[in-house]
Amino acid sequence: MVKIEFRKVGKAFGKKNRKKDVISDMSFEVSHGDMYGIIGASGAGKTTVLRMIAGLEEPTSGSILFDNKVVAENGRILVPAEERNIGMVFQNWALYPHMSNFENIAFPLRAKRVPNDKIREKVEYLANLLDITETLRRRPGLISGGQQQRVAVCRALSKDPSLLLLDEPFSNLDATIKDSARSLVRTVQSELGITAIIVSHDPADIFALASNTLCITGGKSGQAGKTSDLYHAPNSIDVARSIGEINLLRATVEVRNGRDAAVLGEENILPVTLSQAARSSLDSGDRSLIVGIRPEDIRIVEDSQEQVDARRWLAAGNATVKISSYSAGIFRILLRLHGVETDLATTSEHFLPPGQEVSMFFRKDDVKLFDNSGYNLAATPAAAAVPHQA
Amino acid sequence: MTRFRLVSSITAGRLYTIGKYAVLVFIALIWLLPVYSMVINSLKTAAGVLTTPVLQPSGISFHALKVVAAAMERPIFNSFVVVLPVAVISTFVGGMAAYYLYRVQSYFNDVMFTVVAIATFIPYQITLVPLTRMLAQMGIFNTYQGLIFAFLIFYLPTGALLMSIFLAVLPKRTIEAARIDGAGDWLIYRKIVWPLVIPGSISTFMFIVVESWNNFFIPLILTSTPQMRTTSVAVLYYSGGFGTLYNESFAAALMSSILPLIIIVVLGRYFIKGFLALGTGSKG
Ligand SMILES: Nc1ncnc2c1ncn2[C@@H]1O[C@H](COP(=O)(O)OP(=O)(O)OP(=O)(O)O)[C@@H](O)[C@H]1O
Ligand SMILES: [Mg+2]
Repeated sequence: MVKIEFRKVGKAFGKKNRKKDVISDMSFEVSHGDMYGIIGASGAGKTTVLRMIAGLEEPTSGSILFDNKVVAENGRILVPAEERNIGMVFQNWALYPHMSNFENIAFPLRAKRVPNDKIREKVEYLANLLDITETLRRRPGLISGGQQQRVAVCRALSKDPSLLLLDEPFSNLDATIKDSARSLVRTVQSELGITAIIVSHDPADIFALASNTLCITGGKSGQAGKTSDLYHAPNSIDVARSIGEINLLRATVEVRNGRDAAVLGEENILPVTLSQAARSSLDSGDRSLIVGIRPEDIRIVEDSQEQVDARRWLAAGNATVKISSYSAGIFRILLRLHGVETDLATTSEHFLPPGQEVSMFFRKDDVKLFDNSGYNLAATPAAAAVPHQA
Repeated sequence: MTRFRLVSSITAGRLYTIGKYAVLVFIALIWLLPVYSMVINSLKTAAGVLTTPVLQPSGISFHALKVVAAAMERPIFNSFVVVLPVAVISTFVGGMAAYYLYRVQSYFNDVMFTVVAIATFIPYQITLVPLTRMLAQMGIFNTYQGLIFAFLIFYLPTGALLMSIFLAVLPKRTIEAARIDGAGDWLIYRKIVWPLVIPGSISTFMFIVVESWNNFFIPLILTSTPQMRTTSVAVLYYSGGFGTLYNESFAAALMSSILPLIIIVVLGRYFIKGFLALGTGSKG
């Protein structure tokens, strides 16, 4: 168990005149025994952050602390990778191709000069826990992807690490075994009670495993906090998009019937409540903003007589069904709004024929408003008040 | 129409195949011709070698070979004593250097790599005078240690350079995984790097064996007694000069090239394997 802290960490690759900043001014903390998620788009810098934690890469600036002790600082590694007592599962597992699976799992113990009988005991215990006893005598090249992943997890765990790092551990697995692999990792982590960090671009991994999450957007800490907060109250469009699907619609703020409303396209009018800070930034001229709404926060009503609880749902006007598709017991619907370029994705419990006119309702508390630079207008007053460069 | 095309494309394919083999056979002949003439001429008698053309055999006599074998015994032994340690050390230690240059990337190491590359291609002649003096001062001139030491100066960089080429295809992640698993460099080199680059190290080993076996200049300068001569130098005494018996020159040449020949024939496919690994990348 270990606590990890990033203090204003920056990372640049390349030589002086061709320097490329990959991470800048990143601060966050992972507490003891936590299962921490790191999410972000491709190329955001997730792997780079994980590699700095592992000690495979040094931070160009700032410091990294393990249990309040500096392990790397300003371009120097003070505690090298081999002394950090870390177990790591690489994106492609990086098993040793010339060794049997047994020897793969045993390798960290051999490096520690653990006696042979203890090694055998430990490897067999782990193999049994992850159900790969039959494959121990074979080499990694001769077993399935799911088994290789489990060998990699066993290898990462065999030396009783105080920190487990997982870099996209499920991305190479079939969809059918992803869920069981996730629950396996979860069980092992909670059973052993170690700190673990999982990097993924797939929100499904993060929701399945991580209670706290850091979302990296463009090399910066986009937002860090409870995973559900990132989902429901994202700081920015980038964060909102990284951690789940979201519909984004351009709108202009106008006053209708004495109150603020976001006008989407030609006919759809959505009443909105603007924070003081948001209002002042809008008052300064540009009255356009971006409305964000997640698919599950849209409700479709076919029958105009149907009662909808107005305390929880906002009427957002009409839309036309463009297409319905099907997945896992639910219909995925694309909606067209009059005069709006982008389609709206949502779900329905039953099939809707293309061309059908429907009424649309947005869940009141989950309509998100972003300014033109993509920052959430409701998130923090400071964020909305400070003018941002796009 | 279709049928005609089919036929003509088959003949075109045949022609191509035939042409390909013709070229291969031609190349093989060019390579085999000297070997062939070496073998048949070393089996001729002293009179036979003077009266028959080079490419025409005339009887089988082991006389020349026997005479030369007796004289070459010592040089061949010397060559083995010098070449084997040189090749083993150059490959293994050169591999270690290659591993270090591969793992730690820094400006300094880039410079080091350049130095190694240059050292590989340094002409021997430039360094031999200072080297001779140095060996003399160290008291190892005209000794096995001296020869090994001098060879290593030239072949260690070769080993490091070749091994760098083979190491480059090792997946970096594999080595990083080993570091995270708590292994130090020595353990990683022995248990991860070495087993994974074996085809490459065999190629390197063979290359250095052949090169140093054939190296003539270094032992010529750094030995002073017939007792210390290596094969490549000893052969010299059978070619040219007064009273040379040509069948004996051929026999000497044959004997001196026997080790490289055996190595190429027996280990040739490993040599190729090593280079193939470069193209495909080692699996990992
Ligand atoms: N060794 C390196 N040298 C130069 N640039 C690098 C290096 N490693 C990473 N980068 C760059 O840093 C950026 C972040 O890379 P990183 O691998 O951390 O992204 P990621 O979030 O893990 O992406 P993915 O989801 O595709 O794995 C990328 O633009 C990448 O090109
Ligand atoms: Mg990555």
